Amino acid sequence: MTNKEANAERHAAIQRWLCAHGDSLYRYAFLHTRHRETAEDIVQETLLGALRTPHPPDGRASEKTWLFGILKHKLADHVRSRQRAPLDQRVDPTDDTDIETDVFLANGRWREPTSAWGDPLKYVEAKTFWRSLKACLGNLPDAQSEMFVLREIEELPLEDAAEIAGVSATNVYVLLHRARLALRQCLQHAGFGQDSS
Amino acid sequence: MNLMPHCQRVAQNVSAARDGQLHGWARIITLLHLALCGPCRRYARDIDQIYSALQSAHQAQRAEGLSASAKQHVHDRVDQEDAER
Repeated sequence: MTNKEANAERHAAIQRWLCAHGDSLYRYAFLHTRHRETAEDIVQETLLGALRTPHPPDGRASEKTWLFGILKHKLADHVRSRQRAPLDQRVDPTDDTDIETDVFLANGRWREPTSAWGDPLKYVEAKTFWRSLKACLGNLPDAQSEMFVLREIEELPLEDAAEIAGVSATNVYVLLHRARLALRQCLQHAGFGQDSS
Repeated sequence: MNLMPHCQRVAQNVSAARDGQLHGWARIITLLHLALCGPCRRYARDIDQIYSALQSAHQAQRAEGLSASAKQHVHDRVDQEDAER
C-alpha cells in the first residue's frame, strides 16, 4: 500500500467514526469535562488514538463500545493531568449520599406522595426538558450519571456500559435504579409533573 | 417469602423490569403491588413518561454535537501525522 493509499484509508476510518459516533463521544466527553473545547480535544485524541490501535473490531455496536473504551482512557488521562481522582475511583455505588433514604421512610414507604406526571413534552419544549435533564444529571454522583448516560442515552448494552464504567453487573442495576430515583426527584423539584394531573 | 414487598423494594423492581431483570415470582408480586398501591403505580408511570420524553428530547437535540471545525481538525491532524512520518 502506498503512503497516499494509507492516508486515504485513515481519513475514511476517521470519517466513518465521526459520522457514526462523533456526537455520542462528544456528549459523553462534555458530561465529564463541562467544557466544549476540552471535550472536543479529547474526542480528537480518542479518534487519533483509535487509528493507532492495530485491530479495530468488526461490527457497529462493538465499534462504539471500543471507541468509548478509548475515550474513557483519554478522560482518565485528562483527570490525572488536573490532579483529580481517576474515574475508576469515582465509580462508587455505595456512596453515602443515598437517594433512597431521601425518597423512602425507614419502613420502605414513600416519604412524599408521588404524582402522575403525564407526558412532560405536552407542557414544555423538548429542549427545555433536555436542559433540565442535563442539569439534573450533573447533580448525580459520577457513577450514577455515567451509567445513566451510557445505558439510557447512548443506548450501549448493559454489559458494555458496565465494562466502560468499570463496575460489576450487580452494581450496574443499583446505579441505574438510584439514578432513576434521583432524576425523577430532581425533575419534580424543577417543576416537572406539578402542573399535570 | 415476602408476599407484599414494601414500596422501596417495588421501586427497585420497577427499575429492574426496565433492564429486563424482573422475572418469576418477583414480577408477579410487583404487578400485584402496583395494582394495589397508587404511589408506586404513579412512580412506575412517571419513569415511563420520563423515558419517553428523554427519547424524544434526545432526538430533538442531536444537533448538539461535535462542531464542524473539530471534525475538520481531526482530519488535519491525520495529514499532519502522516507528513511527519
